[in-house]
Amino acid sequence: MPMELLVIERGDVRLGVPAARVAGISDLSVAECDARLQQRLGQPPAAAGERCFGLRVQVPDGESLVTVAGRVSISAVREDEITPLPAIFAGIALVTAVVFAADAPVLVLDVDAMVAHARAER
Amino acid sequence: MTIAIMPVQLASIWIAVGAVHLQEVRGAVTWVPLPGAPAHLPGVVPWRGRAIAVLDLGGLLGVAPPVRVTEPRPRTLIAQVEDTTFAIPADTVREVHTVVAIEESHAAQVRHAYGQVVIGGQVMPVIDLAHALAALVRPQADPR
Repeated sequence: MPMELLVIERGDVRLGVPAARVAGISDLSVAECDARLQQRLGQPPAAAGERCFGLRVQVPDGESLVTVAGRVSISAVREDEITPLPAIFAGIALVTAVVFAADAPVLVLDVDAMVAHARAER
Repeated sequence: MTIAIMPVQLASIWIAVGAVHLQEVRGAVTWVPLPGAPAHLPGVVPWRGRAIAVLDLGGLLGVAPPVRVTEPRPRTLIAQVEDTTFAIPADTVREVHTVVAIEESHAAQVRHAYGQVVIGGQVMPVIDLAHALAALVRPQADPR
């Protein structure tokens, strides 16, 4: 059974968000782009000329906006290719699973933790 | 009673680990770095349909430079401690040896070592993988 992942690609890092949790995507200017999620994941702030997007993510109490920088695409992945992280990483990273691929693995984000982080940073 | 151990080279240092923990020895494995992960558990690799943690044992023991995703080590030990399986990048491994005892000596001053063995004239601290892993999960564990 395929699952759609919204893939945010920046440099050699690809982050995945289950597309079913994303209600919409909007273009943002760099001035509006506060890519702190990616900064927490070790990436630099958005640079001039870089594409920025606002992801409207569905959460239990409505929607929340998460801003990201990079190239956004949608990729269909078989559910059995989405490999959960071992328990030893529980609570350490915003990442919950990995799609292993020789050329470009995808780090699948914990959407609720991602939103909680975005809200805390505001 | 005898003890089975496997000699493992991390950079220029030889250590020994209990063979009871070993699941497999593989060649170089490319791992996926995890942002925000602890320094000595820097990423994951696929193994038998699941993801397992990379344990930078050389870095943890302070005997080798940190592992880098761009520089895979030639060998990878797959080891298990209780329910946790992990991959240890290494430079060389030798066949499992059986020893009658683990000696107490200065080699045991290496972090997480509980004694030493001598194999082929080479002195090797014997590393307690369970203790090393516990220190990563619970950093307040007593240093050995």
